[in-house]
Formats: sequence, C-alpha cells, structure tokens
Amino acid sequence: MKAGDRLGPYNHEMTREQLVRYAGASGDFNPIHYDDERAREFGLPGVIAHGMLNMGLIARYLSAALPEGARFEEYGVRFRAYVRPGERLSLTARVDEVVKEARRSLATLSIELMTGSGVSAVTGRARVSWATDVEETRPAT
Amino acid sequence: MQPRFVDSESQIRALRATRLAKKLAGVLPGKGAAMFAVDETLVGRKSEPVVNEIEKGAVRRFMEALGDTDALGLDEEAARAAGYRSLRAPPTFAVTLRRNPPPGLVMPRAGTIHGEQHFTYGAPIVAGDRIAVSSWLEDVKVRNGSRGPMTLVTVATEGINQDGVSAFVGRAILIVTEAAAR
Repeated sequence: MKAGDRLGPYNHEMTREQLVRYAGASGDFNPIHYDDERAREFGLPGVIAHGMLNMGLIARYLSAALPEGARFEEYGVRFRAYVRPGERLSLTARVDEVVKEARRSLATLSIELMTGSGVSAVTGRARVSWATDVEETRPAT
Repeated sequence: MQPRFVDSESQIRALRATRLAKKLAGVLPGKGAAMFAVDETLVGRKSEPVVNEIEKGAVRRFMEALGDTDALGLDEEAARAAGYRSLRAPPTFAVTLRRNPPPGLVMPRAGTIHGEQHFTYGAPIVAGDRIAVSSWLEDVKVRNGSRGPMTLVTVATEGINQDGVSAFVGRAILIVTEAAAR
C-alpha cells in the first residue's frame, strides 16, 4: 500500500432488512430508521439509514482491503446526504500518505460513499495502522 | 400503525412540548419560537460512567448486521492467533455501548440528525472487556440552514477499559432542526 493508491469502488445495496438488523444490533431504535410515517413527520423523504450504519459499512469494506490485522487509529466522517433503502452505494478511498515506522506502518485514507445517482452521501478520513511484519495485502471479500 | 397507542403517544408528546416550552421560556426569554436550546453551562460536565461488559454474542451480531466477515470479530481462534484475548470488536462497535447522556442534556426523542462522527481509538475493544463509558456536552452552535435555524450539538463520549486505558474517544455532531424541536 502506497500514497496515491485507490481502493474500490466497492458496491453495496442498502436494504430495509439491513436497517432493521442494524437497529437491533446497535440498539438505535430511532423511528426515522424504520417508520416511514414518523420519518416524514420530521421532514425526511421516508426512512433513512442510520449514519452509523453507513460509517460501519465503510469500515467493513476498508478493513477487508487493508493489510491483515490492520486497526483503525482514527476515523471520522461527515454525513452529507440521506441514504435510503434500495440505494446502490459505491465506496472509494484514496491512500493519502503512508508512514513506515520501526514495527508498523500508518496510512491516512480519504473516503467517499456515493449514492447511485452520484450524490456524495458520506465523506471522511481514516488513519489505520498495521504491523510491518505481516503480509502487505489480502484480497477484498 | 397501531391506533391503540395513538392516545398515549399524543399525550406524551403534549407533555414533552409543555416541558420544552417551560424550559425555553427560561432559557430564551422573549423568543417564542420553537428553537431547540441547550444550557451552555453544562459544557464539559461528564455523565456518571456506565460499565459495559463486552459480550461475544453482541460483537458477532454487530458484525453480522454489517455483513462484516473479518475473522477477528467472528472466530475466537483467529482472534487469539492474532494476539487478541477474544473477539475484536469492529471500529464503530463503540457506538452500541450504553452510557448516560451528558448531564442536563435532553435531545428530542426522534428527528435529530447525525451530522458528523469522529473516533480516536486507544486500546482495542475485545470480548470480555469491561468498558466504562461516560459522555459530556462539548459544544453548541446555532446555524441557519436551508430549512430554517438548526442547533448543532457536539457530544463527546469516552470508553475506558478495565485496565484504566482509554479505548476510544468519540465526538458526534447532532443536528436538531425546527421540526424536531417542536
């Protein structure tokens, strides 16, 4: 992994089932994520995905693309547009910098999650690290 | 919809509206609008920590909800082989941990939009850990958005493990719009 490398695009279709599963697993039962009528009362077009679900999915795809055993040191995102069930998402990331230390490497990534219509839904940055004595890459799942 | 709950729901909503109106009358004298307001003297006051025991089942369920197939969060042997005591929780698992809200901060139950989220990670969160989580109000800003004024509330959260080591510090920017404040 080196500066300038691009990761993705990784494609993901958001489903209502995933919103429900995420609500259960995360304990976030805000009705804007499962009740269309309540969501509209708050000026939304209908139910929307949890921001944290989008953030979790991005981490999932990045983890799979990073060297084995990599861990997140810092991870921040801005939620820019609603993601609705049925949306076909596309995630890309760019490696901005790689710093090699004695026993580990640290990489900074810029991240963007786009909707099917090309709207930027989530942008952010992550700083990840991995031990340098492990394999450099492993296939994405 | 479940019509039999409508009465009690609307009563709760009316009660909440009255409480909010009383609160606003004190916080913003002369401003009758349904603006959401936060008492800024609450900034920095930490909530009583809640100890969360990290369960293997909870880590697996969270992984499954995301469709995450990383063996470190699903297969205990793989996690041990990689040097972890047990399953390693994925980066956003921290958000599932129970905590008391920042003292005195009452957010609308629904309609709050999550604008930004940031984490700084320390010790990895591993099944079997006991993580004490507290939160505090860090910042409050009022902005004029396309759909009227909105309040941006920054809530920070920290999780400290059983060895006294910080596992994460989280910062969430929550956006309360006029519709949610009503």
